[in-house]
Amino acid sequence: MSNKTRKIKPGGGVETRPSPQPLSRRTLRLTFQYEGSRIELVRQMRVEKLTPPSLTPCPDRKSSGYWVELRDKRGKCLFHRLLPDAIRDSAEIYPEGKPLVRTKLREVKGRFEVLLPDLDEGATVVVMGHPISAEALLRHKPCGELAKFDINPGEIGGQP
Amino acid sequence: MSAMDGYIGATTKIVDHGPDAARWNVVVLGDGYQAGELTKYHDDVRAFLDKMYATAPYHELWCGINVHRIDVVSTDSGADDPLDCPDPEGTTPSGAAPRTYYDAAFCSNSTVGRVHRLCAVDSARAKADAVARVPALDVTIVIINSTIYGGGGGEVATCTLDPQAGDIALHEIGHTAFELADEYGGSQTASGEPGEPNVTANTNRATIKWRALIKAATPLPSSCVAGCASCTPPATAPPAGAVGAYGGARYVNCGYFSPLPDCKMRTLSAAFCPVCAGVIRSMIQPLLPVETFNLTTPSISFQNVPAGVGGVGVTTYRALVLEAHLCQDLTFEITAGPTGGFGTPLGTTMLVQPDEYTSVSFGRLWLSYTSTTAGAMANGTVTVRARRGTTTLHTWTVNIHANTIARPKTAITLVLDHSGSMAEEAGDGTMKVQKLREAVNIFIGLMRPGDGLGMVRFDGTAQQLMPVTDVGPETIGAGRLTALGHANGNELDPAGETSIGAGVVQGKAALDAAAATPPYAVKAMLVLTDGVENRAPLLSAVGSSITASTFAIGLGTPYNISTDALRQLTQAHAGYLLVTGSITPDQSARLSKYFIQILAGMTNANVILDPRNDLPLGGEHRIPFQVTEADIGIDVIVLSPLAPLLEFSLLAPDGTRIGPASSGSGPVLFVREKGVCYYRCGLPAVTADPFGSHAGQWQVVLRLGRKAEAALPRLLKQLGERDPQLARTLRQGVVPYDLVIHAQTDLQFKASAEQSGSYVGDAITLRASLREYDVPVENRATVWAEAVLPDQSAETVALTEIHPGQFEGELPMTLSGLYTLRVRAQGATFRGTRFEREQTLTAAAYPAGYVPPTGDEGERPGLCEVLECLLSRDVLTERAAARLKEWGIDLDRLRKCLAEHCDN
Repeated sequence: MSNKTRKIKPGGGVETRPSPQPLSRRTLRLTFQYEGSRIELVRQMRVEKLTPPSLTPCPDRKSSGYWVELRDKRGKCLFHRLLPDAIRDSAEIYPEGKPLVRTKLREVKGRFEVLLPDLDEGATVVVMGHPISAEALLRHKPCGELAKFDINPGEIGGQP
Repeated sequence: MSAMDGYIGATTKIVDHGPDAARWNVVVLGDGYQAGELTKYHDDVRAFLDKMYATAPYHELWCGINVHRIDVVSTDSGADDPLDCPDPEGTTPSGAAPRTYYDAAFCSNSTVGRVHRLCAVDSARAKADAVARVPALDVTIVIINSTIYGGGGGEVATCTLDPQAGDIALHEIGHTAFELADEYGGSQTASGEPGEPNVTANTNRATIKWRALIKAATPLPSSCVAGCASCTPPATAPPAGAVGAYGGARYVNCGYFSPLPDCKMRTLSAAFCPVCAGVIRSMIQPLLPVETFNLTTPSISFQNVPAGVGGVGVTTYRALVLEAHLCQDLTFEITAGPTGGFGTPLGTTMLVQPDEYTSVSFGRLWLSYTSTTAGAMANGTVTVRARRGTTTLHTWTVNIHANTIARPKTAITLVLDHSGSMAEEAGDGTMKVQKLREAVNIFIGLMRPGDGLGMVRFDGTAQQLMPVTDVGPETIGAGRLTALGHANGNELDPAGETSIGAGVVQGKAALDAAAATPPYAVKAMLVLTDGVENRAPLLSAVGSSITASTFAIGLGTPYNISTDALRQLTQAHAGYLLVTGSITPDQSARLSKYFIQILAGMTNANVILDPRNDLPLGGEHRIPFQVTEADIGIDVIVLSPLAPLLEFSLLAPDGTRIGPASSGSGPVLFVREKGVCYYRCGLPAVTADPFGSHAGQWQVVLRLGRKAEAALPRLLKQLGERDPQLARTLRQGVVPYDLVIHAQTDLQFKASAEQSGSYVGDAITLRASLREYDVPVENRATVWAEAVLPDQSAETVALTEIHPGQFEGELPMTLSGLYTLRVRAQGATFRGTRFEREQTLTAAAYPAGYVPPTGDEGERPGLCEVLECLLSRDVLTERAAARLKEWGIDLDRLRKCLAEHCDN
């Protein structure tokens, strides 16, 4: 008989930790601000943290919606994070017990944040999606680059 | 409204499953909570987390999640609720405009008007505050202190306290953390494949994103929104719950599809659809810790279990403990044994589940041992395993050992004040010393055979009346009779001043010298005084030398007693101080009850019930009380001036009547003495009926029969002169009595009262603990205190369970005088049997500026000072010195002698 602590390992019918992909142990916390078509990266912060994975393939310009790409120096997409409802021209109203509906907002303006892996080869972040006007998201138009920013090397952080 | 409208307080990691760097981190902030509402905020956060925990698939992923709570205090309570913004489906706006830290407000602007349910905060500031305190956060939620339905999304998710509003935050987290799109349609036009994993333009069975979840028989598309020409509806609708491609998603009715007709990303009250749940699972699963488990009890020892009360064995329980860090349920079970005569009182299987708030869970399988006779031993083994499903994860074989010893003995010294003030009236027409004698008589009568009693009296000095002596059997024990002789003789007659310290020193000496075979396991001292110490040594000088548990009773009001010094003495020595206040006629047994409660504390017994009542002549009272399987023995005590005439019996849970005639048969003893009668029962009380005479609801039955009524006229005549107050009560047709029920038990309740100071404006912190077989009674009990304030008004203080089995509450002292606090607990044992416990405590507050007498000021001059004064030349002149010399007394030599002994 042993008093050692037992670990429940994957396999043998007790699998508890499937790992779809290796996670980065360092994370970039990026805060963006948008107003109409103008998008700014207002804060970059490095955090000691496992980056939550991205489960979908990187969208292309034929896709629909908004997302952020982390690219290397040659422009290759290393990682992406989808932005459902982060950039918006409408807001949800919350009926009780019924499907949600949206109401158009007066202005396209707001902030959002993404967590990306802090990879050595990461050089730029690009906000992708449909064009944006001062009043609306132009979802009927093809997606493209909306804004592009360099990632600062070294320790970064500070207040937004 | 701004950050000027409040401040940020503590950050607390309330769900802790490991380092933030390796977990999914939720940060919760509040808005619209004033400082006095932080407890409510904590409850609201818990309610939200309970909802999140219960929402699939979070429950199964919980071990990968940490939650941090940030206390944010606002100047005002609530959220802005503008009058010009009614909610068509809700209540009329109140027009409130409170000043809150994050400016919580209903009614965001849209192009079509103002939408009441959009309840927003200054999200940039809330997010920055959260990141500054928890840099590794993943999602931020702001709970708004309003019961009006509302919430919103964006950089932070918000929700109010409406029961449905928590779903708003869970829906918004779906967007911000898990990349989930809204699954409801709208008038927008489809344009390309959405990137989000839960919506699609693709109805091709071979390539659709969630094809693995679609059964071959499910038609695609599975439904169409009415009027969508490009969509062909299926001939037969798929069965409910079948994952497919249902028309309408991401604001598009025609061209985009979702996995199910309903999902939390479409309707707030719905569950997450399998696709969304799968995405959440896949995102958090990489952050789950490796599960571990460990048997922390490699052997079980029932060491030195005492022989039972009244010859009945004491059944004691010990747990086999599995400590586990789990993400999923696990079964802990006995597969063989126990051998050696040990029992499994609570079954052989336990489901161990992950804990909602901590990373560690415990599984306990209980073994039992019933003691026999001193010196007996038992040995055995038990085999246990941890399994999930049918897979055995590990098996352990555990050795068990047990032995029985004689019951541990307690040595007690009573340190009793007999200063002159004990001749004063106690408040109910009797002298204090008479009250003391009554209480001491009952105390001596209730002591258990084998326990030792010593007695010390003090006035300005202290004398030992009796060394610690075995009291012997109930009623007739020689030590008991000797002690009663000291209590009832003239040795306690009031005289002299008050040196409590001298009494305590003598009490300590008596306990130090106490010897028995086997040695006394517990040594304790009970100090009774009615005054302020005014003779050295003071308590402050002798307290540090005490090693025994020390309790004290102050007979009188806090102003007349050295309350602070006694409180410090007792709290430093595992005891407490009780102050009686003025003894009113309806509380004439209060001093005796305090003595009995302290006797219980000294002998590790618990008070189950402690009521007072009046029994009508010719009437019958039945008082129910709860006994549990963890109780080893009970003392059921009735205090009454008419105790000799009371008909007093017990009804066991199965209805068996236990009366005086049962005394001596099995573990039951009945004793009737002056002013008191009691049953002392080992449990089960009827050996042949172990289940019907142990755990369950018992009843005390009290009657005054014909014999009592016949004796009453004679009694009234006697009392008319001796106790007119009691005679008046009896003429009203009632007999006062106090019932006290104690349990020797493995379900221990302890309460304490700690004052932040001694003045009005300070507060009493009440603490209580409940442990069953030394395991905290977690989430199984309610604890509260019934406080009687100095003006005799009543207040109830709820004690909150701050840690498993530990409770705390606070009572501000707004009035000067005595606070009597009856701390009570009700709950259920491991087996689900109801239990009750209580303990009386007292506290005292002085008015601001009042300086309580300490004995330090105005201390009487010492012997040296007196002698120096008497021998001074002012008193003894030259002529007197000459006369003394003639008689052979050398005054100079006397003065020199005095100086040699006193000049240090």
